Amino acid sequence: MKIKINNINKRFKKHDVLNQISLDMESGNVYGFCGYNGCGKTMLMRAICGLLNLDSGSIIIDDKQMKKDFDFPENLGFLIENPAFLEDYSGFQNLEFLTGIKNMADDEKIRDTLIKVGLNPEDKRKYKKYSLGMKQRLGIAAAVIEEPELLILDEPTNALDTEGVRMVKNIIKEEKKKNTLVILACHDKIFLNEVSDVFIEIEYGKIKSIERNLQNEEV
Amino acid sequence: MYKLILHDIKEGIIKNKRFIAVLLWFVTFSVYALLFPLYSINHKDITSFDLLLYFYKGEDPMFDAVLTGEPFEFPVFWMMNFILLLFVVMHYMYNDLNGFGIQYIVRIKKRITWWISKCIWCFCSCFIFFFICVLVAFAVTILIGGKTFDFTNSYSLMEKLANDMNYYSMKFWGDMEVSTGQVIMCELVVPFMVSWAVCQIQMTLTLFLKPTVSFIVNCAFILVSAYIQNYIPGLFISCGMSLHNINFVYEGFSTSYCVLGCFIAIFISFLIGAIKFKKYNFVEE
Repeated sequence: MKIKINNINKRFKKHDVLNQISLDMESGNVYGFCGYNGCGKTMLMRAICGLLNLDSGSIIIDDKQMKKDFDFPENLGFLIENPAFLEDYSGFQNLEFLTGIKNMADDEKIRDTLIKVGLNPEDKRKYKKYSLGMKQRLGIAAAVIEEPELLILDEPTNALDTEGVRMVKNIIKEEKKKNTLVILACHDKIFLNEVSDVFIEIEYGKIKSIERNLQNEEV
Repeated sequence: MYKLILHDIKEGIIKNKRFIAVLLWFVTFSVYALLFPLYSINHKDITSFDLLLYFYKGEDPMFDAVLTGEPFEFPVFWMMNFILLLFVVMHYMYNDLNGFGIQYIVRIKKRITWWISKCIWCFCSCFIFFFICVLVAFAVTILIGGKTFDFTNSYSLMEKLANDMNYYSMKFWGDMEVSTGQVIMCELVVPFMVSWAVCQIQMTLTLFLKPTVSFIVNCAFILVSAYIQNYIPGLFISCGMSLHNINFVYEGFSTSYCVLGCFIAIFISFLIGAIKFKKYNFVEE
């Protein structure tokens, strides 16, 4: 998969949330976005997911233009801000419902994914009873369960304990081995350093710098 | 798409506790009507369609009331029917759009599919609302020993309504002959169509404004329709006053005008919503 972002702009209430952003990304790499709160990381992720109507510019995925040739990327897994699920259903039931849309995962796969993110597939508790950490884990499970080619994770380590952070690290590394294009945003620079191949720093809706993570390459 | 529709029906209708308020409202309204305005009528004569007519009868228009010097009676109960329906459907679409719905929309890949599903949900919600209304009317007439399965209006009720009416000339005193089919159209189908149109407009407005604001705007629209009728084309909501149908009053709206107006309103609202949703930004602005 190749993503080409061409000079995209988006303005909300006289505020440039995305300002002349151009970027090329391809499969098998982990792109780590960093920047202060409100700099535009989440907005950029939303734009790539197809959730934003851009003022100008284009996003091209595998030679197809978003909004012209397709509304949303094919085979996308995402976790953006607080994940939302059906409150009166358990984690298993929520995933069952979501995977039933495209029929891309069976019960066994759901169980395996829940175990992978540290949740109990036999847990009958409803989603509204979950702790923040459990909700985050379920969000990650929903993002990876359908073997996406493009995986977008916005602050995946939020509300997670040390074990949870390790889990996310392992999942990202696994996805990279599967040649998934991973885009993630995180305030934890140590975490970003350990998983990213490319650092992209965003400031005032613009890309401030793009650097390859030589440390990760050496490893 | 059928999975999404089933999901909307389950989450937006079956699990929607606000429909209990609908049941309570119509029961309360029926009891009130039987104890006060319709007290003088022999309850054994009352039909289920009498109650349906009473739920949606409306009042004389204000402008005309002023002309005749008669006091304007605010159509509180008539307005409450629509306001309650809007209240029931107010938040579901918006909450879905800002929550679980995003997961769904991204997976189904087409925004229009989600919008169509919500429009179908809107229709189903209105249908259930009216189903409850009819159920209550039938249940109450059974309880009072009235004529439940008589799909006409009783002489006693029509006489009372004709006496109460200030401006419109009710055909009751002249040449009113309303068939069962016309009764069903005036007292059930037309109010249902108007309700559906109002809900569809509310849904479309929610794409532009927050649910509470669009609810207030819609309520204002209903209020204006209660005040000004006949003179401004397009204020189709006043067609929802059953007693202003041409089958009952000489100056009334024709049923086909009402139904056509509602269909046009629904279609335009659907189109505007589809176009807006195509460019919708999934973000708290």
